[in-house]
Amino acid sequence: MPRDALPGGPRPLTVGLTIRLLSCEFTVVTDCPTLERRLDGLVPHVTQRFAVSHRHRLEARRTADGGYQLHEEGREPAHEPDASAAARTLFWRMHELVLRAFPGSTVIHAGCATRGSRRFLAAGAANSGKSTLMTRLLYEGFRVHCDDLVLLHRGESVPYPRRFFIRPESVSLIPQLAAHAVDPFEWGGWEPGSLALDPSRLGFEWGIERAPVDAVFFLEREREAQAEARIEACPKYAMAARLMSQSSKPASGPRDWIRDICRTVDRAECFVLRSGELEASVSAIRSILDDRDGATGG
Amino acid sequence: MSVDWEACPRLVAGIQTNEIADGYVVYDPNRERVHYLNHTAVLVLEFCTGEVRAADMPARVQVAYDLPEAPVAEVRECLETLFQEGLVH
Repeated sequence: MPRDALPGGPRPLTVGLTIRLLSCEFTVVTDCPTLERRLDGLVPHVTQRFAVSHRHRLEARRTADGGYQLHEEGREPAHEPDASAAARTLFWRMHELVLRAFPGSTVIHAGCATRGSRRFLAAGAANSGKSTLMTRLLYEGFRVHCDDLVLLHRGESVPYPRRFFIRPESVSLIPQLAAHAVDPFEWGGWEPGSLALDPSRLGFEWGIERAPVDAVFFLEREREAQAEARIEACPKYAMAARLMSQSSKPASGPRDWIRDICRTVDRAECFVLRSGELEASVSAIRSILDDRDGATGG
Repeated sequence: MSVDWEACPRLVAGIQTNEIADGYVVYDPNRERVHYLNHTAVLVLEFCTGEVRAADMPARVQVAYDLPEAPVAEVRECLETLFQEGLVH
């Protein structure tokens, strides 16, 4: 019999988790502590300053075959074979509902951090090194808000609250991670061998709030991993093209999409970072931001 | 496509322009396409009011940028692109 199977029929829903993601609050109830731990290993423990405007209740009950039935009002129940699969399904459903709560926002593939008083985005395609760079910046004194998704709306950015996704091949690039005892449930969060990293679990202050963007770095990976990082100023119209390629149209239509991108690049300094060796990329970003912050007295 | 230098190009109706510091982001709802224009292309597009002959545009760009010669080839290339992309007619 599977470990989580239920001899003797269903049990009451006794375990409850309240999860805040931006303006959404989720109450997840289940009869299975294992599922609760799996889910807690996926969700971010991040301070967020947003009023709750949407509330959702999700239920997960163990079934006689050792699987889980997932319930949400107004939807057909889903079935998952084990606790990990059930936790991942609940997790992605929550993200789907959060993004739906921001229909007028442009979603862009970018990490987001603050250095001094300056917020910046590190945008780029999949596998351009965003997560590795943003995780490394945690250890360099930057306040890192997210590694992969940012919502843009009317000139302001909202970092998306999700654990940092570190691929297996990238873990070795951040030796500082080895010094921490990592909760085993954080490993394999998205795929086997990957790390769903929660900065707060590593002792970093992790917070998310709305703010305008002062600088945009677009990451373009060099072929040679050890190649020297190069940073170049980028015309705003050219950065707009790059950001459009890494963003998705909001439900409200293309006019809002273009407006959000234009407002962002128009007030930000724009750079292309041809990222090679990680240390050099960190130094390049730091030198740009520290120069500007010093110049403005920030 | 060759440029008719005697024609007075005009921005196609419905084209949406979004100004940024060094160019335009232009959305064409008819073709659902986005275009990114640098300063020179913006200048040429702004001449496309239906009242300026294409033949007069190189001289206007020359004055705007204080160039030693009228950039005929560049304006031709820009107009060809604007026509091909359906932004002007």
